[in-house]
Amino acid sequence: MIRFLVKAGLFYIIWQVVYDLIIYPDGRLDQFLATSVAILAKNGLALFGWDINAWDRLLVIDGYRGVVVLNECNALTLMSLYSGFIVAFQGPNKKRIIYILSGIGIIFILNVIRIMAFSLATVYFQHYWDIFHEFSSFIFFYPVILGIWYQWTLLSEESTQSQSEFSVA
Amino acid sequence: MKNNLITLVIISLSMLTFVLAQDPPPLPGAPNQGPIGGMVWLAISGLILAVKKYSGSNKK
Repeated sequence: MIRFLVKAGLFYIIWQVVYDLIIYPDGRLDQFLATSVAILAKNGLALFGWDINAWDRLLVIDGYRGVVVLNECNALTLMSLYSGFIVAFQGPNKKRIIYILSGIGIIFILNVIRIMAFSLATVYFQHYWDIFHEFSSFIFFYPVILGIWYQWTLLSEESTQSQSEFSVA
Repeated sequence: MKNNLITLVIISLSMLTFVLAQDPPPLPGAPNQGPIGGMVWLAISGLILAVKKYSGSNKK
């Protein structure tokens, strides 16, 4: 348990330092994530016939209020939080890499869907947009992330059990 | 003719004041922003999950 806390703590400290000193001043990763999410959300809604435009990080359905994807909205912090748990919790290393990469991909896709939902919210319930936004993470991200984390703990248990069986045999 | 011209100028000026007195067209509102909130709750949930799993495996 203490090993988990130490590993998780170290991971987040290193992540914060790397983000503050390299990623944030550089800005390209944040910009890439924000613009790609905005463009994919625009294309997704256009596929369903919505008259929608995207400029850089801004997404506007014609005639309605826009949605802007800030650095805080691009899910990079969430990706690091997700990865930190997988890194810190014991488990097989090969599958760890698969879980981290696929989890980051899933979070990215969920963020695109979330931003699409935000744009539709400007059309259908702009008055309740703030409330929807407040709870959006609990709808789109957290159940999925907790589910994957739980799966990872089960996988970790299985691998430790099979290791102990092998050592007994 | 001169009177007509003066009348026309007065009417034009009064009409112009009406137009200038109108409010400018409203600017579009600031776009909505969507930062991800409540991440602390996710972190706490992850911690609880880890504690539960580690304490469970220790009991075995």
